[in-house]
Amino acid sequence: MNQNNKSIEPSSFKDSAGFVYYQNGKVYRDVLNSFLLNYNAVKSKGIYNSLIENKFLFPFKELNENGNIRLESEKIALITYPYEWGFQQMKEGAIFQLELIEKCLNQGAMLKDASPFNIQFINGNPIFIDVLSIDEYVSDKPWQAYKQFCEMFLAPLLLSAYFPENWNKELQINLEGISLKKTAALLPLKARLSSLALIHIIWHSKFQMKGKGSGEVKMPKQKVLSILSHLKMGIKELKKYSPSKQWTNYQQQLPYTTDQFQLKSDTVKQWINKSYYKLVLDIGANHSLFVNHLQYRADDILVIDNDDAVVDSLFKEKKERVSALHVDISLPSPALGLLLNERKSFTERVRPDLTLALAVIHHLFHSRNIPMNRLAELFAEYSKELIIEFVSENDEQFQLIKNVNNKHPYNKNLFEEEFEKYFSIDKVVEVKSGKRFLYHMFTKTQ
Amino acid sequence: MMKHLLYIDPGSGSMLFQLLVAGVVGFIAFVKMYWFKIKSFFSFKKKDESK
Repeated sequence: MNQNNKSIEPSSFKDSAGFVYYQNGKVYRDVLNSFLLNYNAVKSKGIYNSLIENKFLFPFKELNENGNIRLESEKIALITYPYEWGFQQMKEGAIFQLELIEKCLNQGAMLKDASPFNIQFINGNPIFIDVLSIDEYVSDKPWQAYKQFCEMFLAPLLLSAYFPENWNKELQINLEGISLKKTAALLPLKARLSSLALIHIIWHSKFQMKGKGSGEVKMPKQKVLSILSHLKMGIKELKKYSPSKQWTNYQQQLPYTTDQFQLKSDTVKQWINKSYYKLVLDIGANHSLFVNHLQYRADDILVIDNDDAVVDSLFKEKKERVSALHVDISLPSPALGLLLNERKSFTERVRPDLTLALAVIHHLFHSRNIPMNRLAELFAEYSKELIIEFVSENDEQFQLIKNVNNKHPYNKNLFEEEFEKYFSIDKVVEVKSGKRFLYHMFTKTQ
Repeated sequence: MMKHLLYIDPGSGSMLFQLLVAGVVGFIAFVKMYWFKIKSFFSFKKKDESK
């Protein structure tokens, strides 16, 4: 691949202030002439530097080439999207967004938009990546992105607070946010007792329907700050609707004796210790027992689970280099938006060089009826090196989750036969007599 | 002249609505502050009585 190739980021078409492209492994933003005055005005107030110093803004370097302003920054290896975040991650993203606006306003700047796609998380901490969204503050101008904030941050948070399921997923269908009208219709009556939902969603949506003009409205900065403060206080108090208890206590009920678990743990660690990885994908990680060990063996560790409560608890641990996402490996995020390249698919963004799939294969087999040949194909897509635990049909956990209507064949021989079509099996260790086996394998194409 | 570009739809009504909301949330913050003061005054008294 030619590293000098300039490739334009397809999602940066909306902003007419500049555009984003990649070259030589770095990210560049060309500031267009139409925004040059605004950019210089914000810069002259020292706002960019102050935001970078306070870890609000992802660092960048200005390159001035014959009067053309080009901003260079490092590439974030793992880009995540809000519809992959758990409730806690969205909540922290929303509070961060509000605090960033407060910070900007206090220094004479304002954000042009309020999109969670402009926030990424590094070591579990949010950071703003879209420097050209920061504009000069115009006195007495209302908050242009108020509605966008309510539809993209507040709506999924409130719905997740009042109903089961992770409503951030709704942003996958509605890339521009869950409309005020839809959110207001969905929210239960008791939501009207909360000033957060009543004001910013329900009344706000009614005002949209009346179609009041958006003409010249003057609004002092203090009033914008009071709205930001009300939103922030309300969001801080939000709690996820009765989190699922399905897997959160799984660690305490692990189907191993201490010795068996020790053997599993030692085997995995021994196999991991041989290399250093760029990206490790841990599928169905539950409490991700190997995260601590992996931290020093990889640049990035992505832990995915289809239980949002597990994802929230992992996210709260804020471990260095670890990202926890609410993704079901059998239903990964698709490519979305304009020309289907505005938002990239999970497969395109996540190219791990090691994949851990410990005791997940029987779940995929039973919950989604995925036959063995397709399971092998699935893991081949996501792995160069694979550490996978095979759970036999006579294992207690297998029997516990068994779907009697699933008539696909499932046994160790078939597992080996199908996986060997894509992988070379390097090692096998029996971790639970006749019931559980750890496999270390590498793709054949390597 | 400096142009302030807008590439999102601020939403008809959202701008005017903000003006009204700012008043309401300002009032809520005011009430909350006083409620907190009253609460802390009584909890202080309670503590005193228990001595």
